[in-house]
Amino acid sequence: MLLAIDPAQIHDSLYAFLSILLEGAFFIFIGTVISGFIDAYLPPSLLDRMLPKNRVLAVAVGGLLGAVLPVCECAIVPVIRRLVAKGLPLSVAITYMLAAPIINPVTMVSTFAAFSERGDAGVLVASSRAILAYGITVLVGLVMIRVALRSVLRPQIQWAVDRGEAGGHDHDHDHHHGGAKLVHALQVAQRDFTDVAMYFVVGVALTAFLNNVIPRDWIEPLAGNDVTAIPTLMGAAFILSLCSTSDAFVAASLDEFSYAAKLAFLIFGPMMDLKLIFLYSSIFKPRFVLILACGLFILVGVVCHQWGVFDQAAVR
Amino acid sequence: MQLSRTEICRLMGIGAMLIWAVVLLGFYVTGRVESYIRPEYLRTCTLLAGLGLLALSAFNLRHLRAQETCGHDHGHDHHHDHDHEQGCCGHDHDHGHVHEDTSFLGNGAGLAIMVIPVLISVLYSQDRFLSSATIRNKGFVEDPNAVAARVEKELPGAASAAKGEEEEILEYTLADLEKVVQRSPEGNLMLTVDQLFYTAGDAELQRVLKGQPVEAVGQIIPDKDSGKKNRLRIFILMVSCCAADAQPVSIAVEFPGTPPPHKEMQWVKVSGTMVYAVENGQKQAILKAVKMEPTKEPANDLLY
Repeated sequence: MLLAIDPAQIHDSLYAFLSILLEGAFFIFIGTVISGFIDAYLPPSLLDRMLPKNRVLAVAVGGLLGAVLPVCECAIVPVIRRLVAKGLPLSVAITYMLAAPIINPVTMVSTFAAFSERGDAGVLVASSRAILAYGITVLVGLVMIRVALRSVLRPQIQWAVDRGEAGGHDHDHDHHHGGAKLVHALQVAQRDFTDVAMYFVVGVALTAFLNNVIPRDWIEPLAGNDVTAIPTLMGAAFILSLCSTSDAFVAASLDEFSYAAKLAFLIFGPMMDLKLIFLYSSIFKPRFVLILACGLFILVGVVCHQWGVFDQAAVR
Repeated sequence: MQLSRTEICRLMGIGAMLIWAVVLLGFYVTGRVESYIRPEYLRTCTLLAGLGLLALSAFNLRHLRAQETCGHDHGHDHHHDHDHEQGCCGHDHDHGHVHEDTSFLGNGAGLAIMVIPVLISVLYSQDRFLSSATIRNKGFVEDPNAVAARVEKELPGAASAAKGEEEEILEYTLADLEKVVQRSPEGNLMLTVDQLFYTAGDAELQRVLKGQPVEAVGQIIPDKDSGKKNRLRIFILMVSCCAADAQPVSIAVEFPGTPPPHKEMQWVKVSGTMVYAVENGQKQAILKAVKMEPTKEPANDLLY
């Protein structure tokens, strides 16, 4: 099973690279502008006031924030980066970050539409996707309550959190005139854009290359049973790095795979893929990103496998 | 005008953003963007991103020398020789300065990663897939329902008849099909590859189309899976969001003998008659070709 590369595939990779870049640039831009304005205008005390005091409840709310603040997986990274720096509890931030690309109206409607074309599975897959993703992300968030910030955040994000906790930044900046705040917001937006865009480019370049050169023939023989099919499709989701608003159309076309495997594809992909590995690395230490990726892989795999067992039993 | 290290680094960032802005706007203005992403709304997103980056660059250039307001982050836990400038808020506390990375090497390397791959791609991308290996790796769509939404809009009568939704259509006829599909001067029904592919999942359309002269335009690729030397496939690419998620929709094209000379991935017009056969447990639409000729790439070569 050798990977033979036709030289023309290098051109094809450049084509695929640019297509993902053109698709994602707007969302990265919007995310970083929001990030700049959060930094300049959002008092950290507001986050404390808005979230439930109970940490478990706060995580549960974090998993649903995507429904009211819909952000795709590219745009959410700079936003989360800034919210964490502003003092949003890590457990809530990670729950929101992982859930928002799935639990938002756009993704739910597109999932419904993609599977509705194939009979009556639209409601089943769209609702299962949202419910399972919510459960998984809340579970991850609950685990994160016990994790120390310092062990997961990159030094510069940790530095910002420390400065906020030291009391240097939780005043409301009322003494700043609007113009200075705007300048600050847009300077932050610029720095965040260049920082996140760098990680994005590396992730997209790898995705575009692997997407074109790995034959689909390699994964089709593994579709036969869920023990191989689920990890196979999660691996495919990782490499393909599709946008959560369109991945359902690709999943729906994978006829040889079970619904459980397709669900794993649809849940794991928006939470962890090749380009996200690099984007997450702009917030978290690489070791944590690796642990998160492995943990999600196992958790999503097990949950979707059990969903498949339940689904088959229900059909019988 | 003497610039500080901080200001030079800011300028480098502005330069990188301007390059992105020019690329995005260039793709939008030239229409090149349509070969890459779904035009309906993502095309507008490209314009907005380009204009937004341009505006952000212009604003930050105008305020290049502005001091940051109080503290905030952008800090690094390492020590570097940044300018300890007092914030504009006038505080003299120890966090009233800007913590920007002012290392030329660090900034330069980061911005190079952001810009160089983009420029190389803009210069060398051919705005389409060139290799048949890439197409094969993407895997051909196998379920005709995958194109149902699109085809049912184009062939409304056929779709309704197939589903038995219109009571007045007791039996779908060739005359019904001819109301929505034109014939070429040679008398062929001019159908698209996705429409022909769709018919493999629709018994009503198969009955009407079987044996009819048809013609279709698509790109040609060897049919290695069938093992038949007289068979090729023509395909078009179906895209959900961007070209990277493209999936080839194809039908088999069978010749009486060896296929005529052709180049892989070439755009061709094939005419012949439609037949249907079950292969590997699945109904296949097969175009029994009588003629294949090179043709121009259509303006809308991607199916969105």
